[in-house]
Amino acid sequence: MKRSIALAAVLAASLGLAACSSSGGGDNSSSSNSAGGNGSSSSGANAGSITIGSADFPESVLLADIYGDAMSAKGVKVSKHLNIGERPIYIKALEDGSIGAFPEYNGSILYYLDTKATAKSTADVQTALTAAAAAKNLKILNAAAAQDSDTITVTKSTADKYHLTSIGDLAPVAGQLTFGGPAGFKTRADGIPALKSIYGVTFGTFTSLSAGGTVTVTALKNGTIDAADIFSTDGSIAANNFVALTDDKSMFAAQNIVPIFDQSKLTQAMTDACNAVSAKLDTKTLADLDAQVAGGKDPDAVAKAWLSSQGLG
Amino acid sequence: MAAGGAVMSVVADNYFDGVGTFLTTSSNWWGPDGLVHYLRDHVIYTAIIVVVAALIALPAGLVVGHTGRGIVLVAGLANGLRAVPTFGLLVLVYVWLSPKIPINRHDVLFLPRGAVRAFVPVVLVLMLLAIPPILTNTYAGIQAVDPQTRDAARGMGMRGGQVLRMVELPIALPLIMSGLRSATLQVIATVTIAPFLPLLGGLGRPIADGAESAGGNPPMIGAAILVAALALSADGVLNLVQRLIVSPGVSGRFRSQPGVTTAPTVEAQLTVA
Repeated sequence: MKRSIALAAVLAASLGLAACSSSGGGDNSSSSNSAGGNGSSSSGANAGSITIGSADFPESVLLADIYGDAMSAKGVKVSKHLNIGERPIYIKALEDGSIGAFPEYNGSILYYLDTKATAKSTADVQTALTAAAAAKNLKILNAAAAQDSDTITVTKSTADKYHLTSIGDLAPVAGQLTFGGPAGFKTRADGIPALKSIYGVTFGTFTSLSAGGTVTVTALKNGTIDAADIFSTDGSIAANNFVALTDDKSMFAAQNIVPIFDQSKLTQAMTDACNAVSAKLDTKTLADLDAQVAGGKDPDAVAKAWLSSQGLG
Repeated sequence: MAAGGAVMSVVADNYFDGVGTFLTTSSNWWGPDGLVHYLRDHVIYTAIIVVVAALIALPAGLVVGHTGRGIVLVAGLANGLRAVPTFGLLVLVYVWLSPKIPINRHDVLFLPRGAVRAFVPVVLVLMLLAIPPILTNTYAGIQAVDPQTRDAARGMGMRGGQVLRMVELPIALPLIMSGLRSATLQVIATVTIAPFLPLLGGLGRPIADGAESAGGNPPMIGAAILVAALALSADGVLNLVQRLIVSPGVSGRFRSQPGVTTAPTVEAQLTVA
């Protein structure tokens, strides 16, 4: 599956390259110049039009609805192209102009655009990402406080028993504990090796949990494992009173929600609308909204209800 | 064009690259994450599941076959069980049952600490997979015994239990064994889903982990090859056992008297095969 997607992406990319080189670089730069001029002159009356895309998982769809509806409320003509697929595919769509905007996670997109990136904190990631995106004629708007990042999460009773608030607090007791996470976590740079080198935490046992959310949550709840890798916007954290230990030494890269735009299509109205949303979106809010969508509500209805409750819709 | 061709071949041809190296590197075989350990767990899990399933399915099949009562019910149930989506049921049973299991912080025999809560759901769910072939083959084997043979046994003064134990069971044994064999094969293949629950091992571990990591192909395919090899070996062993315990008169290997045929059992074996 992944292989075939990779193959398709490689083929698509090579075709795209061929098209670029045959049409000439001069053409390319002139179009981006004129588009830049458009963007700055249209800050007043012309709110512009944009197609916003999303990846094919619920949170991404919800975020596209939130940012899309917020722009729509400010007079931007918005159309949506949801559930596009994986990152290589929608970034290609963003580059070839078939979509104009996309809700992203700043850490993931930075490491995708720049494989040599090292930034970890929100501020560093935003700086590095703005530069990496500009090289591709993409524009990053303000990041929301909301993050969907990996967390080391324990139950309330484990946290109370060992007085845990940050990941570093695990160091003296981790040897007696069992940790559950995806298989890749054992070897990837910001997984088990980082736990050891950054926090001095080495768990007694590691078990990989491949089936995702439900099994991990059950295993943590019933004490089969003592700590788990769970995403910060996962509704199970609040539902089960789990404690997500704070990552005060930035073991995991920041994963703030950030809208990414095709620079040539971005207008001041879009910037203002999206930044107003990002200013109010924090992790707890996003987790609540995710939970509503997971509970079966229509993402667009959830988005509109939240926007109007915040005076943005 | 040349570059495109190179990309294609790199993407398409490397599924088996590294599998041979993986299987012939001794460090991949030993230690807590080694294939020997996974193989051992795989065999233990399979044995426990098949034995538990046989303890339920064999007596039930013998009674149903002997009395002829409840065949419709049992056949329907067994066929229904075959349709159960094993993986989905495993997750469901784990979520529902594991908090109710009181044993947690103990090492139990071959299981690591805490794994009992994951292992019991695995046994229960895979048992459902192993029961139908044993159950249906057992009652079908008993049912297929020639009524004249049964009558003759009764005519000699045997009681119901004696007829079952001394006549019907030995004649049905080839079919019962083939039920056990197919149950064992199915469990060996399917117990690879056990490591989707925490702390469990078996040859599914390198398969599940390999699917999630870069460069995971060699362990995945290597383990899958071992699963296939294990299935063939287990079938071979059970075949030997079958040769040893089935009466030569039933299996047809005893032909001192020309003209004696053993048609019913040969036919029964054919229908199963």
